[in-house]
Amino acid sequence: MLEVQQAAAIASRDTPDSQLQRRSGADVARELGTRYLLRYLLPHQLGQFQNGSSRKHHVTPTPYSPEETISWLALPQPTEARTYVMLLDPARISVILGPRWVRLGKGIEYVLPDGFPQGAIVFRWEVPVT
Amino acid sequence: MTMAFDPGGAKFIDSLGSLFEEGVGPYKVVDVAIERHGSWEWVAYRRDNLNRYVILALTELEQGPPLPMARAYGVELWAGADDGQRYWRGLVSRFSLMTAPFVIEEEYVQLQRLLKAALTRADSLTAAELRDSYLPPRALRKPA
Repeated sequence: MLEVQQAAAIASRDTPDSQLQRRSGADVARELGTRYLLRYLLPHQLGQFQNGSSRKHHVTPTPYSPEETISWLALPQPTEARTYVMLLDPARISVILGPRWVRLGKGIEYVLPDGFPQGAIVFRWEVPVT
Repeated sequence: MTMAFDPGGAKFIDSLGSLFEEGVGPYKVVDVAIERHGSWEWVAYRRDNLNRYVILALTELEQGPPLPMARAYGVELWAGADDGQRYWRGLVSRFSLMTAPFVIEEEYVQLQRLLKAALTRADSLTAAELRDSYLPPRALRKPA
């Protein structure tokens, strides 16, 4: 089931990955305008994805403070603030699923089913979130 | 049950998934070991008057154990529910465990017990407890 909000169709929270819109990164980049996709990290994950990643990742277009990230994205381990973020250029990612509302949270997420290439990482180092 | 985990943790994650899938009873498993911003999650769901969720989450801890090749994880059980407009999500239990090539039968039994507690909490949630509101899509907002 889809809910229409402006030009973007945001899938409902109970939509499985297999039923999300499968889109090109270029298409999502047009939708987001100048914004990037954000993949938050725990401190010990720094450097883990500097060469890109081929596994599935969940990302969001919305910048959050470390305190907001937990509740808006409905993340576990609330005592471990996500104090770093990787900025990803959607135009450099081949396949993106979504967007979808976050279950038991207020945020919006996209899914990168095949991960992201090194070339999609905007900055060489993860960005601290304060 | 006696289980030995590999140092890398892959079998450990598989073992947790099996425990979750076998333990959620009438709930349907909808997410299996998905990685969201640093944590792994398994999610099971059932619907009656509310959408009810039980979530098992696993997060590798920054402060690792003092053993080579071992890993420390935070394990959490969450319960939640929504009615499409309002929701509630709460932590039911949390503990830490370490993976290494040794037996962890006690942790496995503990996890089974805590999973039952999370199911009980999810089953008991009422509409009155759904205190948070989802953001309404802009198209559905009433005019000012």
